[in-house]
Amino acid sequence: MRDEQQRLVQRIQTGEAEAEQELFRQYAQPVLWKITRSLKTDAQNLKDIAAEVYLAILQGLRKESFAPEKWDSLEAFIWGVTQNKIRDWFKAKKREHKYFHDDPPSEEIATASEEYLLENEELGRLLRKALRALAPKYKEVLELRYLQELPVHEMGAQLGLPGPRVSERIHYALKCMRAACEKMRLSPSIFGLLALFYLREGMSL
Amino acid sequence: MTCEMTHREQRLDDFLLRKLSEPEAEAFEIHVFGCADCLQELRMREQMIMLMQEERATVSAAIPRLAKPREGFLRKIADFFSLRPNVWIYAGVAATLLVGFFIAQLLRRQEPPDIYAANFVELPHLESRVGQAFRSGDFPLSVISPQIGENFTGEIFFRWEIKKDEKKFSGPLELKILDNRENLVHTATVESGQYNLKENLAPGIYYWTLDYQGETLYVGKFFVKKPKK
Repeated sequence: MRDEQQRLVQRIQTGEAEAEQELFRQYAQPVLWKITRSLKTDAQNLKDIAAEVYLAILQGLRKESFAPEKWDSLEAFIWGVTQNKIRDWFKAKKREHKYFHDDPPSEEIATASEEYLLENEELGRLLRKALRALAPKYKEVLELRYLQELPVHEMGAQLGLPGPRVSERIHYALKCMRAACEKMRLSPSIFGLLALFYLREGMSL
Repeated sequence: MTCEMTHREQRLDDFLLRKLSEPEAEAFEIHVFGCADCLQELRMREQMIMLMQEERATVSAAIPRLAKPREGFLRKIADFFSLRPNVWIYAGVAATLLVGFFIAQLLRRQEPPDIYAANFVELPHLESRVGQAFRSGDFPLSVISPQIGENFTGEIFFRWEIKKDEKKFSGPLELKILDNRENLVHTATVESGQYNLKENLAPGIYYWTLDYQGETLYVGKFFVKKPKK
């Protein structure tokens, strides 16, 4: 684990609230991304699993036995916790076991989860608009690449273009899509709010 | 973009298209957890793929027509423009400049309308004196040509008469021609009662005077028009 990450862990272990918020700001987006893409879930599951992951990360870091040097990076640890929680959720679902606690998620957590999903919706709306505006020849290469999953040389053969030109075309098409996304700032949301919620409620882990 | 992963594009696509082994995919996900650029790119591409799947029927319908290989020179032109979308902008700017250049050339050949019109603005203080023979009564001058406001396109013939029995005036008259900015464009000393101006004047309004010993005896005006081609 890198030095600055070890220092962040040490600050969390001493109970520094600012360090926890820093951690959430940094890793909220990737954790939510992984949960969402793994579970293809709705807002209810997202917020519940996110809360579980949040607790598990902090519990793990605060353990006396936690050894930063054993981890390549802090993101490797957080990714591992997230992965485990997702697996747990699948196992519980398979056995029809109750996975979550009885307490309903707080309004703040619910709002934050919905915010993340709304963000995805907004991203989808912008991309849909960009796709419609994209010239057919660019849409065509995207379709061949990502739906038909053709390698570049096969696309070239099909289109009658050399490979580098196909790559250029894909690159430009993605650039157009990226430009559409830049209209929306992807901001960390749920974990920041979760952190605030837990800190405000004075919940002990 | 600040991510410096080697073969990043390939790695992103391999991950999205599930072409990575499980350990490779895990390692890449861990990288994504620490790389905001890759995360954003993945979110964008995942959403895009999802949308394209939704619209697959529409997109696929367009493919046979688009995928049809173009032939020879036309294909080269089409490819050139399709891969360089900015070329259209450059071509547009170049075309505009070219058209502008030709228009400027055409206008240069014509008389600038604003300047041409300005040459016909009257000069008020001379205008009020046009047609008057000064010292009337003791100077029997009769102007025959040009008539006041007469139009010319070529040479101009000036002619006037002084009574034969007039003894007070002996000697030449000074003929002056002024443009409407009061610039002296021509002057001549005339012994007889006529003068032929062969010089081509620019189109406009002109005032002409006959002076005797520094005193203006007559003010007239005429127009020079652009000759018809």
